[in-house]
Formats: sequence, C-alpha cells, structure tokens
Amino acid sequence: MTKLGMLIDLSRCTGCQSCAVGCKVENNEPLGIWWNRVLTIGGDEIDTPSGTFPEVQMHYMPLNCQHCENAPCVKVCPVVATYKRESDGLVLIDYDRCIGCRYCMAACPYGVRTFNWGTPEYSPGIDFPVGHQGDHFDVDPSSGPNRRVYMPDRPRGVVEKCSYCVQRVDNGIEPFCIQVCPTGARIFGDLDDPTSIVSTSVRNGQAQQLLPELGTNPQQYFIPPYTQKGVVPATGNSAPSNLASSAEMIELAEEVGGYIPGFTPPAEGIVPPPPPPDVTKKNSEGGSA
Amino acid sequence: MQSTILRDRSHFPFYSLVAVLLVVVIIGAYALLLEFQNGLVITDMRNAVSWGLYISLFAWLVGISAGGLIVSSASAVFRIKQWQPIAKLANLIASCAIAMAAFSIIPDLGMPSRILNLFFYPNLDSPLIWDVTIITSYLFISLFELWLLISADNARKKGNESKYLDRERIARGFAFVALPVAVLTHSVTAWIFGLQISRPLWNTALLAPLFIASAIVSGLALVIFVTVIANRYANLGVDKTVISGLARLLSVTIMVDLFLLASEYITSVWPATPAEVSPLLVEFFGPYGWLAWVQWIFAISAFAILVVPKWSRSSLALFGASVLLLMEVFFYRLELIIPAFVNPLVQYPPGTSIGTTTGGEILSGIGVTTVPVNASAPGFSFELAGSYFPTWVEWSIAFGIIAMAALLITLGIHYLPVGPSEKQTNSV
Repeated sequence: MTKLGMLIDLSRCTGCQSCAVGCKVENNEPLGIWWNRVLTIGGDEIDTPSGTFPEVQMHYMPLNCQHCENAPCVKVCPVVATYKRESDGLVLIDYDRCIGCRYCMAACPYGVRTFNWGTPEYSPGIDFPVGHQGDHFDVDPSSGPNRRVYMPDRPRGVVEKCSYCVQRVDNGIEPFCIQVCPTGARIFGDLDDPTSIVSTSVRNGQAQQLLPELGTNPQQYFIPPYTQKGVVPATGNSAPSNLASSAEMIELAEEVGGYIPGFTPPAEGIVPPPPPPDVTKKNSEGGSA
Repeated sequence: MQSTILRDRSHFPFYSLVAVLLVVVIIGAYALLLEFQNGLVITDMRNAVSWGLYISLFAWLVGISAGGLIVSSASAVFRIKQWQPIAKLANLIASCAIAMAAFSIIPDLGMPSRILNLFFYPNLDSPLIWDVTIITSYLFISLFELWLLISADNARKKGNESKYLDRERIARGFAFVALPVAVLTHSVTAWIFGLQISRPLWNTALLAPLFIASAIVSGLALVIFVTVIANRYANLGVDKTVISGLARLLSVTIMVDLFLLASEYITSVWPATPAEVSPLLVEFFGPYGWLAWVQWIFAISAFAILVVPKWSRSSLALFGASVLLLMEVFFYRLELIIPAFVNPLVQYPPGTSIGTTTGGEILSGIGVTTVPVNASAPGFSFELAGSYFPTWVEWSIAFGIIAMAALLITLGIHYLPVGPSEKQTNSV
C-alpha cells in the first residue's frame, strides 16, 4: 500500500509564506480562506518573537491538513463527504456531497478546515480562476463513483481544506507547496516505502506528529527546530543558537546517509518524491495549469 | 364540552397570543429567507467559532422535548398516578419541541438543499447520524403516544370502556419504548459534543448525564410554565397539587444537575494541569464567562423559589422559577458550545482564517484594504481567538423557531383535548 505523507523541517522554514500563497493560487482559494497557514511560534503577533532582546525566540510552523490515519473529521461526517482514500490515505472532501453541517470543523483538533460562509469572493481585478483548472474526480475506485474532490470554484456552503493537491498527486506531480518551498523544508512521498526520502527523513530526523497525545496519527510530520542535532537551548546573554548551523546539518546529513530534507540539490538525484504508484496509472484527468 | 368552555373563556388571549407568535414566526421566516439567499455569511459564525446559536437552540429544544416525554412516559411506566393529568400536555410539548429541534438544524446547514444526503449516504460512525435516527423515531413515537392517550380519553368519554382499556394498555406498553428513547435522544445529542477529542470542554463522560439532568430541568420547567399559563387563560383545569408535585421533583433535579456540574468542575480543577483547567477558566472567565455565572445564579434563585414554602405556593413564583430555569438551561447550552471554540488546540498567530473577506487579503499588519466590508478588523482575515455574537438574523431565526414551537403548543392546547381527563368518578 501507499501512504502519502509530508514532513516539514521547521529549522528550514523561514516563514516566507510561499507555501501558503502557492496553495492559495494552485487551489484557487477565495478571500479569507487559507488551506495552508504559516503560524509564528514566538510572540503574540505574526512574525514576532517571544522574549526580550537579545534572548528572543521565534520559529514558524506551516499548518495544513494533517491527513490523520484516525481522522476525527472522517468519523463525524454524517454523509461520508469527507473520507479517507484507501489507496494512499489522503483525507478528501467530496464537494458535491457536503451538506455544510460543519461537524468536521468542530471535530478537527488542528483547525485546518475552512467553510465557504458566503459566495466565494476573489481580489478585485482577478475575475478569473487561477491555479489548477478543471474539476478532478477521485481516481480510487474504492472511494465510490463521482467523487468530485477538487473543483476550482467551490460552491457556497461547503467545507474545504488541504487535499495534498489531489489533482496533482493523481497526475504524479508533488503537491504545490513542496514545489514552491524555497528552502526545501517540505518533503513528500510514500511513508509505507521504507526507502523513500520522506520515510528515511521521518525515521532519522526525530520527526514528530502534531498533538500526538490525541492518537489521530497524522501522516504529516514535523522536525522541531529544537531537536536538531547538537542543539542546546539558548542560555546566558549570548545570542540564541537553538537552530542547527549549516555545519551541523551537513554532519547530520552524513549520519543519515547523505540526505537531509531538501539539502541535496535535486540535480544530484535524490528528489523528486516517488509518484504514487497505484493511482498514476488509473488517472484520467487533465494536467495542471 | 370541555373544549367549548375552553374556547369561550380563552378567545381574547388565545387569538392575541397566536397573533403575536405569528408575527415572530414571520420575522424568523424572513430572516431564514435572507440566510438562504446570502449564505451563512450573514450569521456571525466563522471558521473559529463555527457553531453558535442554532446548535445551542437545537440542543436546548431536544432537552426540553426529552424532559417532557420523560415526565409523560414515566407516569405510565412507573404508574405515577398524580402525573397522569399532565401526561398528554407533556407529550404535546415534547412533540412540538422535537419537531422544531429537528427543524432548527436546517438554518445551520450550509447546503440545506442537500439535507436528504443524510438518508442517502449515512455514515454509521457519525453521532449526527445516530441523532438523526433517534430524533426521527422519537418524533413519531411522541406523536403516536399523544394520539394513543387522546384516543383512549375519547373512548372513555364516549363510554366505550373496552376500547378505552385497550388504548390505555397500548399507551402504557408503548411508554416502555418511549422512556428509553427519550433518554437516549438526549444522550446521543450530548455525544455529538462529548465524543470530540478536539474540544476539551466537551470531552467528558459526564456530558450525557449532565444533558439528561438539564433536559429534565428544562422539560419540567416548560411543563410547569405551560400548565400555569393554560390553567389561567385556557381553563385547562390541572390541579394545583400536580404542579407543586412537579415543582418538588424539579427542585431535586436542579440539585442533581448542579451536582454533576460541580463534580465536572472539580475533576478539571484538582489535577491543576493546564490542559484540564484552561477550558474551564475560559468557560468562567473568558469573554463568554458571564453565561456560566448567570446560569448558576438563575439555577440557585430558581431552586430557592421552589424550596421556600411561602414562595412555592404561589403560581406566579413557580412561573418565574420555570422561566429562570428555561433560560438557565439555554445559557448552559450556549456556555458549552461557544467557549469550546474560542481557543483552538493549535493556537499561534495569525490564528484561524475566518473564511470570509473582511477587506484586503494580507498577512502582516500593513496592507491595502481593497474591499471594505463590515469589518471589525479591516483587511485582516485571521483571528487568533474565536469571537462570536449572534447577528439579528440568527436571533430572529432562533426566536422564530421558539415562537413556532410555542404556536404549535398553543394550537394543540386549544384544539386537542390535552387537559386532565374527566374525573374518573364521572365517567364510570
């Protein structure tokens, strides 16, 4: 089986919001709707650190659907509009079936679901859909027929969220946030394949799930900046140094077999993520924009 | 005969009450139409607080209904003679409340046109499907039970003793089904919330017992409320001892309810772990903390009215206590639902995207506001902590639904023989 997962190395995330904006473009998200948010872990406002200078701390955490294996949203959805796809474990929403009861939003511990409260609006001047064009239907037959899991213009009154770019993944292309991340903080691939980049990185990078105590068992992992090799929390009056230096990263890279998430340039052959084997063959939808 | 007396005595208040309720219902219907046209954007619910007044109202109405049917079927199951005079009335209240509870889900749906998907594609894991199933059955059970009780009565009035005994026997047997279904209805409604690990305020095994206790409080309160009014204006003729018996049971139930609440509080506070204590702090000291304080004040005041003999003898005081309790339970529903959404488990700036535009679309404090819309914070479409206060549309729809339930109950009292049966001695 395939189990698509994502790993975000928080020590590499610079908070540039490229993934948030890229996601918004690719999935044509209306004003006020963000499937992917980059949260600031630090002060009370975005882009502010905690503490007083010089002892300040700040890092970022991108947050999108965690694609839980034990997904509360899937269990509560009364009409199976949200479901977990068998072939690769993606949690998807059928926009034709959702009744807009928002039970899934109450049930999701991560707050990654968003609702179309009004008729979707876009920035003035952008009166055309951007990103992926054309609807996409689930290619996994076990999900049932006519599962419209992506459409560029979602109707008012349905819940939407990150789908790991199912319209791209089903065409053998990685999610857009992976592609646009300038620091290679995000990697994507098959968690069930022990040799995949994402699996080795999850194993070797001290990866953690978000809110693991809830037992939702997400397919999304994070490498917290604090747990990078050789990191000591900032003490005394010196500048904080809890992020791994390049030298430490390279050292760590050697330890785990030459690869640190996104560190090796794609030209040298480790990227891109493996295409999902089961689904690409059956795919019938058109390409991305 | 009884009904002619009833009509003669009650023309004036009956028609003016119906007129007032109709006005409220029409305003609610207009608001609902507006909501269908514009979408839920005209409510104040957003991505952070994604459930609000409608769901609270739903839980409140289900509770009232369950409370009503528990009274009516318990009188049959446990052969509580002194409750039998109000069994039909309690049943009528239960039927009207559950019908409007089911209806109150419709304004909450983003896609009301797809409501039948609930029957086409049910997910048996979902507590919402359990609730749809149990509420639908409950509606039919309570209506059938009401019909049984009324037809038994009619048979006796006509002197058809065998038919009366027959119907009475079926009604009694049926109450054995109705009572557990009534209890289960409200338990399932509690489980909609109580099973969710994402909301620590809800996630307690005590939630279903709490809902049942508060359901009986609100159900009994409404039965007393309606009985006092109907006695006064519709000449219903329920004996005062029946009402004071209900009031005694009510005072005990308040204590059970408050006891359950208190044990929930101490279980959260004593371990002093932030995960347990902070939801409770929000419940009492957060932006919606006044709901919890008012709830306790109302409950204790009503309890005082019910147990001080001088006050509890007065119908007016009982009426006041029942109003306090109806509001108390409604506040409890609000207090449970809104604060649960205020602080999400993953709470870092900029927070949750609200799901609608408030103007421009920016990520930091500086930005160009291009679409100035009804914005509390123009240009910023995130909120770190959820905030919610129902809009006039939500209030109108909620009061419209309550008025519709009241209208159904009023019509039922006026046109159906739900008063106490003729004295047994008269008919035999």
